[in-house]
Amino acid sequence: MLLAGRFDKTIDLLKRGMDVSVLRRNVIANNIANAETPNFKRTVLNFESALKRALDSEKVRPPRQFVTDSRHIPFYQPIDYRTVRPRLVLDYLTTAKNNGNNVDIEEEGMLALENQLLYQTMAQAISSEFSRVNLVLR
Amino acid sequence: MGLFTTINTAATGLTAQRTRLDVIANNIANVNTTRTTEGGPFRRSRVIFRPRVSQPYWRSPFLPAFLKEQIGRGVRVVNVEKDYDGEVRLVYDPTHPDAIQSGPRQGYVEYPNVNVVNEMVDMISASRAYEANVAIMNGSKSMFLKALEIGR
Amino acid sequence: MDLLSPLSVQGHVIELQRTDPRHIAGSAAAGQIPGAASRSASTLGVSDPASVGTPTSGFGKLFFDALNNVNDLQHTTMDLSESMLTDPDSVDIHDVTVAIAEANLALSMTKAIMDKAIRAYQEVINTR
Repeated sequence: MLLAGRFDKTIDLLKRGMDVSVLRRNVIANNIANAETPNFKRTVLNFESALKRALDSEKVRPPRQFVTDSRHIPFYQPIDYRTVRPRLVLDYLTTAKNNGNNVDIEEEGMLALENQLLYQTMAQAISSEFSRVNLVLR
Repeated sequence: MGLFTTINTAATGLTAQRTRLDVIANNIANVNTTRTTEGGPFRRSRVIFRPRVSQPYWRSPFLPAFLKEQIGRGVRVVNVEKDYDGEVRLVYDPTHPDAIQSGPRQGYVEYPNVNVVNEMVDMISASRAYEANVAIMNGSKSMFLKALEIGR
Repeated sequence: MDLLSPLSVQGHVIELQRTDPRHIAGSAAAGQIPGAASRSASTLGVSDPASVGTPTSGFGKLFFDALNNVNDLQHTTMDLSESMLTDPDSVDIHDVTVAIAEANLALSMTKAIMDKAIRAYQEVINTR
């Protein structure tokens, strides 16, 4: 892209958010489909907190480092947000029903709705980014 | 992975809950059947569910691919089996054609071990799960249509 | 002595030493056997005969890189559309639409810049 600065990063962040949103919807659909299976434990997908940590690490200004050789170990290296990956976690801590199943259908339905609205918002944001640049080009 | 996988997973849930609903309807319809082709009274059936995984069941724990967590693919109906756990109901009625003729329980009629209240509760939870799966599919459809508008 | 920035210091990164292809590595790229790595790197040293006549510096190079970028974006779009046809489960819909929008945007931006540059050149040429 000919544009420098934050345009590429915004689009990349939004696209990664949408990818993770689809993965999370698969996890929620699996939880709901197995809502009556005995001894099934729900899974959750963690991504946003790790991404926030990576993005915050770029804003920190570390103290001055005196490293003179490429084999030195650096004091502080900011985390690249492109290396953050989503993580599946098995949730065995919530209380289970009598058949060993700890899926709460209402909560999964609420998570699915929130996920859908977030995805649509991100799609709208990407669309606005592109149309904003197109506005100038006309 | 994509939205189509989500729709497939929700579809397996729909199939499973519909099977469960069919079995419940059969149980309720046969609540007073005292004789079947196998001889005894009607026995209630139940459905056995298992989670559906996309990988073959045994994987070597030393391969790196084993360490990557897999998102499940929904639910699978393994079996519809007869439930021989419950006690049959006995009602004393010597004039009934299916009454036991001899032995310590002479004159009693065996009724099925179907408890209508339990079946109604199961039916409510099955239909609620069915609606949740349908909501997932509708949400995925809205997301898909919204993503199509990005370049427009 | 000169100070190095933290991004160029690699003391905490230790390469895995693999001597046999059956050894397990963390990722496919990090675990190249030394012999195979040198073999694949040697092919990169061969110059592409088609790119002999391209400019190597200045404004021409900028335009050439930009056009290559636009071309790559178009290819990405076509590849994504093709894999959407052959294997719908592997590619997400927003990947396809964002790639299409990016390709369109890059193309129209390149066209606008080229138009302005050409008009500026013509104005300079036609100065009386």
